[in-house]
Amino acid sequence: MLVIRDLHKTYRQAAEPTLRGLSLEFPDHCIAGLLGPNGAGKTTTISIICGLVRADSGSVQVLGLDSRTHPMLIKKKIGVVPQSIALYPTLSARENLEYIGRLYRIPRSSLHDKIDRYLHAFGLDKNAHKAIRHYSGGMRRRANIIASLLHDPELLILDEPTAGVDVQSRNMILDFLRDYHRQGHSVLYTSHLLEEAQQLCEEVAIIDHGALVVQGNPAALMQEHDCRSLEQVFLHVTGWGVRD
Amino acid sequence: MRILATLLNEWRLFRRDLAGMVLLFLMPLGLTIVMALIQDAPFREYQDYVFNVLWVDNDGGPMAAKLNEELNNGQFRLIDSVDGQQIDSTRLRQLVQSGDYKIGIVVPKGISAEVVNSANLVANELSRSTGAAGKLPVRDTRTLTIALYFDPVTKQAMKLSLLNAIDKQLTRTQAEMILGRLSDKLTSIDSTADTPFNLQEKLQTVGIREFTAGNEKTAKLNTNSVQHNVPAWAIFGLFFIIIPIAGNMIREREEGSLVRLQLIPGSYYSIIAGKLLFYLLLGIGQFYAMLLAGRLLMPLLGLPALYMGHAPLALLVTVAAIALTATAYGLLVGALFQTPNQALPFGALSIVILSAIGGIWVPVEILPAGLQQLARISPLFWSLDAVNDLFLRSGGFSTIWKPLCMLGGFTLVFAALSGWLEQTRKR
Repeated sequence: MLVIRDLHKTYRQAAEPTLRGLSLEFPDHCIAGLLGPNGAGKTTTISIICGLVRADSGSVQVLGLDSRTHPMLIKKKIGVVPQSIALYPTLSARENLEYIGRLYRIPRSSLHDKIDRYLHAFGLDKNAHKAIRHYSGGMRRRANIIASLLHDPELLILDEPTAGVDVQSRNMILDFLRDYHRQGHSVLYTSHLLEEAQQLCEEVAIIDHGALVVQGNPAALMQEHDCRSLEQVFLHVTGWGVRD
Repeated sequence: MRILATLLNEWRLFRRDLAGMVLLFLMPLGLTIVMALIQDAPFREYQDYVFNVLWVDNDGGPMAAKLNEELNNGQFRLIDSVDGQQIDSTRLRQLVQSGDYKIGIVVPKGISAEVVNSANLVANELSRSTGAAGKLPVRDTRTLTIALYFDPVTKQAMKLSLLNAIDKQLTRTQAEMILGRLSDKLTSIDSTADTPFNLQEKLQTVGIREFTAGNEKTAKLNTNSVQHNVPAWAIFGLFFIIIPIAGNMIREREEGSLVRLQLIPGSYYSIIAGKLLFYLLLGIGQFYAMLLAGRLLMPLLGLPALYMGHAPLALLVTVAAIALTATAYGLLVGALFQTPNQALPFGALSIVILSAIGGIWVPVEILPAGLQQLARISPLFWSLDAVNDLFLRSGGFSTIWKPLCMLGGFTLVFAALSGWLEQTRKR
């Protein structure tokens, strides 16, 4: 589902490059985790995959499509859940979803059906008309995910989807991701919660300082590094030093 | 579909922002009314007012009486007694100095006799040169002065205006008396004439009358407080649309909804177009609300009704051009700054400065020459110029093409700069 080759990126006025020849590959129809400490380059990598940021060099293939030659087609096939709640806080969840659905050119009748279905699936149907700003952190995260699902993306990319949510909301989100994967979709997600990644992901890539450190199945990586958890593998390969 | 969806979404966002609605509609309306009321007095000609003038007549003759009669018929009400007591020149000076009255006039003793003496001198000279018989009594001329007193706080412009009015009246009264004497003399020289010779009438064959350079409809329209303030402050208020535009742009960036919009396939320009269209319609609505207030509300407040020219289509295009320029400026401010705390004060202050040099506060014509040139860099100047062309000069498309082109130029520059800044930020 994703092939990245020798990706380089240095932001303007930045002292150091963010990505230094990152290369990795995730197979089709899997739940993949892109992991790394703060400043490793996860969000920049996702931004390049989505077409929000231009890479200085290197190539990205998403679902078999080159990101430089087919950026619009890629946008149609992927759904991205940004780390921030990318919704209008003064509008209700339904109003936000209606607007986003129309921008995706989803026909009105099927859009309303989808909105109703997802609001129900994520337990937001009773608060559909409430302004997002009055939602709890978990409710906002769930609404944020629905907004990325309306156009039925083949690949769902999530940046820290469970950050700052309660256990119930987290379980609901993770259950949904498993279901979504079972329906034949691919999922790529980033998280600092390595126990969560260990449970959810079939394949993980740990990056640091803008380059790949290790990649593989979580169980295989634990065995390879003689660790009892993915977190131990993570600390083993990225070090114990605190990152800014 | 994307444009309409964005238009609807902007409307929903705007509807939720009650403070923004008040800022955009009620505040400019309040400002326009207040400014029109405050500036009503300075915009009126002094001739529109009746001034109370203290009057001391030490002459008691026909010249003083004539002057009294003429001044009382015009913009002055002459007052010769206060609190039931006849005033003298000392009391008059006290009352003016204390500010109780703005103007005082003291007519010196002998002024009538002096005018009669002057008239007799002219008549005798006429008799001598024509060989006519008879000589009127004369003596050496003396110079007498009518004393005028002004309240020290009286503004120079007002003082000059009043001095001119009184001087004109004095000259006229003197001339009438002298011409009357001469007419009598000429009639006595030509004893065959059936009717008395009216010299004054003969000297009034050439007169002055103001005509308009424009069409007939505006012939009676002088610029007034409403005619200046309503369009000017409506333009000012319309440009304040940059506050919600820039604020929303920055909020979208900060809250992440901009990222969401950029992730959706399709041209981002269609979303921008939807936003532009919404603010364009909002600006047009706001401007016409102001004009309607000028037309209907101002007369209820004792002010003249706004005259809106005779080219409604040209007005609509002009308002749309102004709204588009303001919207593009809002996009630029939103793109230029990172936080609302930076953008909003800059946006508001820049509008105040651009309006000050653009002739919104006071007409550009009375600004110093350098500022008059500087005014051309303000889109508000061209906005007001176009509206004044339509309202005061009864213009149409043929007369407003230049300001419209300038507004179009500003729009393109602002939009291009904001686009460039947004692209730069992505890198």
